[in-house]
Amino acid sequence: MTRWTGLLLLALAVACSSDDGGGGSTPKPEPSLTFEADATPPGVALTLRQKELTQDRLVLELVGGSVQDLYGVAFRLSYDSTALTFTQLTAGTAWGGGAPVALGVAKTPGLLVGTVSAKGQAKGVSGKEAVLAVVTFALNERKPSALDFVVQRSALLNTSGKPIEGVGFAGGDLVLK
Amino acid sequence: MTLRHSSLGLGLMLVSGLATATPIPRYEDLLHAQHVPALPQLLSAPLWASTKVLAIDTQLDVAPETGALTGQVDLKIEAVASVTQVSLLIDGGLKPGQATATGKTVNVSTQAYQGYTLVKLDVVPGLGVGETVSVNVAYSGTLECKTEGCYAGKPLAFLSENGAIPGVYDQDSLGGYNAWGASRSLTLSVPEGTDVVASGDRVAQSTAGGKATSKWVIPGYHSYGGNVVMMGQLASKSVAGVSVPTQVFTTAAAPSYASEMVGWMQQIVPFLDAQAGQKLPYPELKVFKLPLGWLNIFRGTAGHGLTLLSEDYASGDVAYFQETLAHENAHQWWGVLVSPTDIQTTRWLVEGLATFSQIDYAAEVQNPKVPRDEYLARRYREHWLLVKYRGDPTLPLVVASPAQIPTDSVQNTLWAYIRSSALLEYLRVVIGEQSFATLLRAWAQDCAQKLCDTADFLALLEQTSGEKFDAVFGQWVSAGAAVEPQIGFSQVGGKLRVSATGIGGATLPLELWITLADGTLKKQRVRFQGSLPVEIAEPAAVRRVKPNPRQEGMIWSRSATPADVDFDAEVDGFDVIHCARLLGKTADPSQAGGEGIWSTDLDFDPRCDADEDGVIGDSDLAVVTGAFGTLGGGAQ
Repeated sequence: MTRWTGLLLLALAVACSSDDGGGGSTPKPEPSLTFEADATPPGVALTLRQKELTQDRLVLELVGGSVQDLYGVAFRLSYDSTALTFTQLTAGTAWGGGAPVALGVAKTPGLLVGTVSAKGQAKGVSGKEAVLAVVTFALNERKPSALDFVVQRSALLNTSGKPIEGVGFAGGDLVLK
Repeated sequence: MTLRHSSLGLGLMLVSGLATATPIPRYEDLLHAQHVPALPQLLSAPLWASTKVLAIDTQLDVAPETGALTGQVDLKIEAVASVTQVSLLIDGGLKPGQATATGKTVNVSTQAYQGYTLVKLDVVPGLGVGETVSVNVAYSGTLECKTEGCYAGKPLAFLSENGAIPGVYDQDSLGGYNAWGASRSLTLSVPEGTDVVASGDRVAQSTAGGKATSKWVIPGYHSYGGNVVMMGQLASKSVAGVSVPTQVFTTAAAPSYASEMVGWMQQIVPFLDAQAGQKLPYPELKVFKLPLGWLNIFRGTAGHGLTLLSEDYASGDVAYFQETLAHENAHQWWGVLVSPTDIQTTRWLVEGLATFSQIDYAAEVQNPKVPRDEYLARRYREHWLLVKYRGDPTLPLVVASPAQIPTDSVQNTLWAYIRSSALLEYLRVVIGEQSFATLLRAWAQDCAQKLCDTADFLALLEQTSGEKFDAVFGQWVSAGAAVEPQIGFSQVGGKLRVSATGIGGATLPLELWITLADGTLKKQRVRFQGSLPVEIAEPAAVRRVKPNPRQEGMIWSRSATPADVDFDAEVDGFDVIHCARLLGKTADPSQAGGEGIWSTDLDFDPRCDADEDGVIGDSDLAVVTGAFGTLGGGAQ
């Protein structure tokens, strides 16, 4: 329901928008919404990468950069709940054929609590750009907004269950261009 | 310290001499021996009452390889009330000869008694109150060694009380037996060329007529120390640089680990000196490595100035052999020099303290690079697992009567060693390291070679901490219960309110670890009274409130928020990953790659075992994943 309402508002906004001083001129192209990832920190990092952005949804990849022996990721991601609605979190390709735990909940508006984890005696994930999870949002409104990790509540954990030290976190922004 | 009268006779104490001050049994051995070694039980009627034993002086001529011996014992006694009979226990293969006492007639009779020969000595006329007499009894024969009191053979033989050395069978609650202050001496003759090491201070040594004779003396003080004699072809190494002259003995044929033990003793002796606040009061400390395979003969014990340990304890992890050697030497204080008089109903200040010392030694000396809290928490997690899944937390550490002491060998070990040491570690956390160190030094200072018991330990605990612990002792020393508080917290107006529900009306001192939103860790000691919360001034945002995990051997705390395993009152990815990692793990001892006393998987976390079946399975993980996303506790 929210998504359709958003789309209707968007259509109306497009239909009504005009900045010409008189009739007959060509309207400017509507700004397009794009996702700009924040700069990737050096070393081990947890970042967001756009996988898909359509009229009605944003799909992001949760990427582990330069990870070694990664067992699981726990994270919280803040976002503008007027612009986005969390819909789904699934495990990424980095986990291979295993059946990791992948959970995402946004009971608090604008705060995604997520996790992806191996189970039992599974080996850790290593890789330069490991896709750990895929996060899908519905677009409520085409407007600029930020997606930021809550750094103090986010961590990469190794197979010993200990946090990997020195992890950099980088979210991103939805921008109109 | 106050003299307290035991409510029961001391005969059982006497004959259980080798069952105290011993290393922790190995789990695999307990599985093959389902019951603690059978000890002679009290006779139905007292043989002899109201007597004080002043001295037990024994002379023996022994052939170690065959067990043939002749001996005599001089028993000096004082009658506190009228006395007409005294009894001795000797090996079943020995027979008494003539018995004499100045001014008395002593009639001797015997009876086979649970592998021993019970020698009854009727003194005519009987002793009047305050009368003192020395009774001399000769005996001879060949040792059968049906009990744990001896072993004859090559390359090593041993003797102890109730075997070749007579034990005084006394059911009186006032006197008798060395435990109540009798001095002891042993004059031992063996074939020349046979080496001898015995408990006690060696005061004489000579050779004549093909015999080597040595005399060993133990001062008169109350002690559970096992009085033991080792005989054979022995080798020894000196331990340099320690406060008391120390030697490590092995058989000449099997000197393995002698060098290692010398190095370990260079660390163990100073550790014990620091713990007791004084050096051992012996002219010499002898440490004897029993050969591999001796576990079933005699796994080790401690007596006055003599510590013995079987090499079988090295069959797994050598580091564990080392910490067990620390355990056994800790008994020089906790069991030999300081022997609580309530041994009939508890082991917590003997085996519990020695186990506590063992783990403390492992933390301080063997694992100095591991953060102390982390190491001790991990070790005491084993105690949680063992008692929760295999033991009985409702069993008091001081039981009401000896009949309540578990006879099942696993249960007995969990009661005597595991839960006892967990309570001691808990007490250390809640009064603080320094106060507890002061307490142990005071316990050694005030109670070595004196009559003390659990009540005296409580008095010292309260004195050193400045806090009352009678309610705590009432709950978990003289009574028992599984303690599973659920810790919850909230924060309003600069005040942190913490609750511990699920403890009924109990008094629960705890050290809380309070983690702020910026990661700062604060430690705060509190005392819960039943369901009443405690309030702590804390203006900064608090993320997590959890009890110091070193307390977990005794206090099995959980978060008040279901499925929250890290005590932040929320269920998020950290909780899920923690439990997902443990999927498939079990709480069983004897696991390959396990740690601790019984090789347990110390990663196992009962907080992830929702159905409490000792296995972390998919259904347990589903409980955590089902609660995932519960927020509202700490700072987000």
